Amino acid sequence: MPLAANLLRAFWNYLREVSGENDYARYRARVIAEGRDPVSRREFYDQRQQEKYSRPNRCC
Amino acid sequence: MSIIKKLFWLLVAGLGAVALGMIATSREEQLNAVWLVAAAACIFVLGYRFYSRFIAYRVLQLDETRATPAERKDDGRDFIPTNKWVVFGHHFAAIAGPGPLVGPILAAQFGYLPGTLWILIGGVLGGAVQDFVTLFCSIRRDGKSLGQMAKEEISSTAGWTALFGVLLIMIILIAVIALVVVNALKGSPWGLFTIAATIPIAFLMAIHLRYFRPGRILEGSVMGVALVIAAVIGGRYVAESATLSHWFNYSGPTLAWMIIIYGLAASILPVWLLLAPRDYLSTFVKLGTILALAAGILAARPMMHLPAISRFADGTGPIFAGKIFPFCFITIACGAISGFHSLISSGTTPKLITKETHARMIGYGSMLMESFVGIMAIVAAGVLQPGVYFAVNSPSGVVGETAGKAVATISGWGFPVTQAAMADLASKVGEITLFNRTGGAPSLAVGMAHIFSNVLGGTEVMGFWYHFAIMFEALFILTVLDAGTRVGRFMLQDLLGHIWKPLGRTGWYPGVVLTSLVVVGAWGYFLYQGVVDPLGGINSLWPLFGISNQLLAAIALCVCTTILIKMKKLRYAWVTLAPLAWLVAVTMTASYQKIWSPDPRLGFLAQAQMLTDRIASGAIPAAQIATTQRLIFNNRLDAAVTLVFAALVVSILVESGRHWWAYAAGSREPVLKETPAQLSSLEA
Repeated sequence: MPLAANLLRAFWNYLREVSGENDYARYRARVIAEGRDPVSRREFYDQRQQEKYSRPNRCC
Repeated sequence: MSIIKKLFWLLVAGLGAVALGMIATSREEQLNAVWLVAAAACIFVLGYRFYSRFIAYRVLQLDETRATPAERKDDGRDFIPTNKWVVFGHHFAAIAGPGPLVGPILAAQFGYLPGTLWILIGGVLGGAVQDFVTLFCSIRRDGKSLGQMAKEEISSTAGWTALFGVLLIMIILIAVIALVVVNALKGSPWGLFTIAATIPIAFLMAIHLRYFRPGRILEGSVMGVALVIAAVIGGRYVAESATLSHWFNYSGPTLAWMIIIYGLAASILPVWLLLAPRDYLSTFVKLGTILALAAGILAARPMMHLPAISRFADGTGPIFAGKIFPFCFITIACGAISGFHSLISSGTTPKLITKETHARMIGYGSMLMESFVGIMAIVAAGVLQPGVYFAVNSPSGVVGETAGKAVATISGWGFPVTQAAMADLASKVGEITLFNRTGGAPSLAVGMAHIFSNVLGGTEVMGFWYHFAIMFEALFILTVLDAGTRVGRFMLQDLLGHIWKPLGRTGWYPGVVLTSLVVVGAWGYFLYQGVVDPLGGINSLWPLFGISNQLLAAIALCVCTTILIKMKKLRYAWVTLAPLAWLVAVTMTASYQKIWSPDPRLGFLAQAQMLTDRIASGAIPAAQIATTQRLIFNNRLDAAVTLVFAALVVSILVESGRHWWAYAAGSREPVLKETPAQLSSLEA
């Protein structure tokens, strides 16, 4: 069932994007391309979370 | 448009008309909920296709060739051109909270029809327009916030009004949703155990996501969701065990204190430890449950048992006092039009949008999805027998302290219900009692349990579905509470930093603790007051929340209208001006009635006066005088808060109106603070 498998894969990739799981890989690729040193994965998510939760991000 | 497309849209319009016709003509016999869902789906699809298109291309003239902030300022951190479906997911997850589930349930005391019509009309012509136009304005201004836009496009007074309004709405919002949780969990060992378990589950996820597998959000969330479901199942054994249930059985006031302490801790603890993992957990559970509810309604196709319009249209409703106008439109804020969304639309979302044209789907489309959630909430309430609905939702101060008195009062209204039926329902869902559970969450949970158990598992598993629904609501209410307290703290620190620098530093521990205490103290006060209120708390707090949320919507629509007029689109200004005019009429009438109505159940001052008179006449026993005096003070405080909200609306209206007049009369040249256009080089 290639169609079902493709749909499942697309859904999984979508979840990875929406949840932010791909963010570090994208950030790392970009920073390296710019010739800078990326921060570690943990540090990256720490910073992202600090920023995310310091402004209105969850509504009633 | 090709012939086939025209035929398709005619078909959608025809189906919508048939569905609305079924709703309109089913006065005597019962209505299948599927008609409500079908009518909503058709109206939202039509509204999206035609009205949002009109706004996008005629009014706002979205320009695909114009670079968005995400493209111009792309820094890989805040500004990132992102796939539109991903932004849609982020945006919807951010705007959809407990509001569209709770408000429509409470408003169902008027019957299912007023709330349904308001959600359909308000969503298409009001809420979605606000979200969309605010998003557009922010995109054209480098992703500036609502407050900044109010300041730059109207005046600094308007900017301060917006900032102050946001802080106030946060406090009232958190108090009222915390009250919903308290009323759902009081005297419920199963529910409290499940919710308490989410705290250690969040810690486990946090440790996994920080130390073992940093940033592996999906696997952490899958683990978390599995544990939470195990906690829902395990809760039954806790509730059935005489020793364990004792540890999780508390009264409302005790639970209020627990939530206050929890809120303080959550605001001070590092985000990675509690807030972030809970947010992942609640977002997944929330989206999953909303989808499941939609599937459940379509599979079970339940009948609506609530009347279309109930006798409480006259303003004597037990859940909250006041007539359909204005209180239906205040009670259902989220789901129809929610001012809070303008903060999200002018927050992270505009910084991620790749093309201006995506704003239509993300801004307008997400809101219609939320309106759809509101319709499903009405269905969940509507499938209950009216007697059960009122027995669950009516406060004891209105229907009587004992179960016997409550069923007598409610049956007397023409909604028959018996003690035996309520006891049977409570035992099926694993609760000690379902009386006096004001706040919407328990009746939503009973409705959801009814729908789900019809599809899967039968009455044996009703307890599981009920507590799953309670867990789902409480989980994301607590997430909003954590996140809101934290944001409130940052805003307060920002304000106080102008007075004394160290207070503004988010890394200075005494400042953090002090401002957290102030924010938690503020909502904690209103929460506690709501919990001990004999009229149920929802009667006073939910309208305050509705008014504050609509106030924020009025501010956002003022900003949008000003920008439209400055863009020389005066002839299209009605797009935002019409919902604004409606909101002003609603909030002003509601504020006036909440403050000055002579009916003590409706007017804060009338109730304070009535209680004062009763003390003076000696009708209150000496032991209760202190409590009564506190009630009098609280009523006066609520009146003052309402007055402040109304004053803020008037101030922003006058401030904007002055400018509109000057532009229309030509005595002032409009200066738009838009970022200059730049050609986009990205593919759509």
